[in-house]
Amino acid sequence: MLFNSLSFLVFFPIVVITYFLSPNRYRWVWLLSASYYFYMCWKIEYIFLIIASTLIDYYCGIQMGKREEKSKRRPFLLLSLLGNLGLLFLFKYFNFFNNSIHQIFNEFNIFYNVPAFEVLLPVGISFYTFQTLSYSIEVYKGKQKPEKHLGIFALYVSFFPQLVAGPIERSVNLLPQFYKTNSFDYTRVTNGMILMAWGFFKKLVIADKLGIFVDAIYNSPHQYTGFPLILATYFFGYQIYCDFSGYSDIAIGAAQIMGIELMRNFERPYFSRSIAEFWRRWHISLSTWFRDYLYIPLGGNRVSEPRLYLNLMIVFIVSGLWHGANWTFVIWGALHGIYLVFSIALSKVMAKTFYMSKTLLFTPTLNLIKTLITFNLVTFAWIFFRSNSLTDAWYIVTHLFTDIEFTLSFGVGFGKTAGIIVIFSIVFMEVVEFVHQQKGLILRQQPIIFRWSFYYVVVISILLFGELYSQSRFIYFQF
Amino acid sequence: MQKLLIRILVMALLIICTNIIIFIAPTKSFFVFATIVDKHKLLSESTSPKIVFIGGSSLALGLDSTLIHKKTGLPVVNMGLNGGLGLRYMMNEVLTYIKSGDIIILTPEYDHFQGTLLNGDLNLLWVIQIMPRNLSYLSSWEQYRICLSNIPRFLKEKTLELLTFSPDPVYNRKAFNKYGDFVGHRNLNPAQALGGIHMISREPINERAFAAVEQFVTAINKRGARVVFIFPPLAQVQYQLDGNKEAIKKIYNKLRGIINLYIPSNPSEYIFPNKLFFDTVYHLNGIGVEIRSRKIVRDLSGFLNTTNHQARLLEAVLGNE
Repeated sequence: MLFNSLSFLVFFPIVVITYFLSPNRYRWVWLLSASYYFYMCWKIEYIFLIIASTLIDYYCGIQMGKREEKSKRRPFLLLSLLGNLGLLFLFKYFNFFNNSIHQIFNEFNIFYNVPAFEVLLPVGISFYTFQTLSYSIEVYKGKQKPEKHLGIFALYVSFFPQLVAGPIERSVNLLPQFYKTNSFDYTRVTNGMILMAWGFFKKLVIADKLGIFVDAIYNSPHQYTGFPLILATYFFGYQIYCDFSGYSDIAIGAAQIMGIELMRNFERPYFSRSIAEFWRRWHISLSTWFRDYLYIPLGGNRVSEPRLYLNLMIVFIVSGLWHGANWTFVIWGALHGIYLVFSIALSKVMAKTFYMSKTLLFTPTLNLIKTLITFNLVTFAWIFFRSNSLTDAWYIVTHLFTDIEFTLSFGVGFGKTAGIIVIFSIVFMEVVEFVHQQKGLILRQQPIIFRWSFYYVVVISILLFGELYSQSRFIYFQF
Repeated sequence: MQKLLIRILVMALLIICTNIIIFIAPTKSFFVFATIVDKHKLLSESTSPKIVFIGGSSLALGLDSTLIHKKTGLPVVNMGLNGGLGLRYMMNEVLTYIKSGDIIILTPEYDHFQGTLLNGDLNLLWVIQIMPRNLSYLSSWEQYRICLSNIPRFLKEKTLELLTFSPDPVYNRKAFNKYGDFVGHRNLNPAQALGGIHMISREPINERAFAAVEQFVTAINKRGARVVFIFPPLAQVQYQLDGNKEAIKKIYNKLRGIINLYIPSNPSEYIFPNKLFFDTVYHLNGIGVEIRSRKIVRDLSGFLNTTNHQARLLEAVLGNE
């Protein structure tokens, strides 16, 4: 069931109304049923995977809770890791590694005949396995008490607003909230609805519209050179941001309506002044997951410089692989790793060899330059993320500046008017998010005319400019 | 909860009012569908006997009415605009203008005989919005259902149209001539690849389309006029697509069963090489238009049951072809 579908428009109000009408102690039953139903709408059989993951981690959590010493907890942590990562490997990575090994063996004329595993990737598997893993790791560390209520734990794993594409919630944040009594609160519910509407605006008005153009170019890149490739790449940068942050806003808003607070996943990442800052603002739930459960256990930055660089490359390559079983994602991740390594190395060199006054370091002009550089580096890396193959990615990279002709007439995608509308929508979005974040402008505190004008513009834009009929999936569903 | 429901209701009312305003706001005078006004005016002002062509955009772009008029000496009205209006609407809208002695040339796209196109699609709303009295030409519940279900999509397109302040370089009202022919494309270079290639038989054959044509022929005959069926122009690439030849043959055979519907030629005579098309498999380019129009004149020669003067004129003229 997609958020941007008629069935969700019917499903969600029913869930919310029934939620508030139910006695508090039985709400988990209703939410769990709704979450399982939500997931089964994708493919009924895959509910068994999420149940299996739930039972494995519930069991491991309980067993770890009974043991004080970490050495005695370790086998159960390993069982949880094996269970979750095993599922992930089997459904997501088996064919990728199998094909890669097959190609290598072929090169050396060595016989290799392991068949492919013909199965559809279960939606959200990368998200809920990581969510349950974080629970197991926290219980192992002693930072999280094992959840004894199986139903509540199952709800933690499968809570529908964030089940298929995050945010990847930490148990210490999410689990206790399912015990709270949440009554209907006008302010909270309307704030949630506004956030959902904002998410739909980003997804339907901006992301899906840009996707028409991006898909036309990136699905047949060899027909184009120069400007169309450049434009499609920048458009993809905004498509993926609006698609994913839009999804996150809908998820956070939906949960908020029911009194559940999920973590923020994006903080205007394209205004970052460095790659490090970008990763503190983009897909925050995933980057903090990798920081806490991979980067820090590897030693973090408390190691020698070469080891630090190696740690960063490992984290980003794994992060790339998490996004998809394709070498394009690995290259994308590695690029970000290289960016970060380079920026750390460069900053050390500059600190040693140049004296910069504080005034110069923090001038708005310098910040702007840093922001633009970071934005363009990130956009360049998106080429690999979006390309269907390494061949396509290489073609695009080598033809970005070939035969450049500034024209908006490519015979693909949307017309001039629709193009202007989407550009205005992007500017509108950036202004709203800037004002909200930088100025701390709370919408509710504004005059009623202002508030209602904003609501009206958002809703009417969704209805009149949104891609309501394409029912396109969210990009991160494929991960 | 009550406060929330009231606010949702107020917002819903605001949205509905906005949509109503968008719906009724006048379209730009250069908008291509606005030409429906001109076509109706032409139809009402043309004296009988006249020749009226009915069809979609293949007709709009694919006819040289000047040639037809020259060769027949009769006023010619090209009512072709867009296949999305649906064959049923196209036939209904000319009925009241038909008088004794008129000749109706029916030349709809094949898709009208498959699936639901008989009753139109979203584009039907354009001609109703521009000329509300066109609503009187809807004669089936299915047409109303299609109009109602397409209102949300129509409002989106209408909003984009309202926000467009310059005419489309090709498809605009000024591109039509005094006979209703679309001529804006005739001197333009054809597209590198033709659009609209599809399997005609992907939708099931619609028996009601043939029944509608039969009813139309009967109604026209009662007015003392005659109906001729000329097949639409089609690009080779579309004709040769899997299953399309068979689908077209089925349509031809069913049409032949309609009494008093004169069919002077068969579909294959209106299949043209791809290079004679402009941008889609139905839209002829300048050269294709001339070739097709001369073919139509030859096809009409066997049929025209006109006064002796006109018959002699036609024989004399056609003797030079």
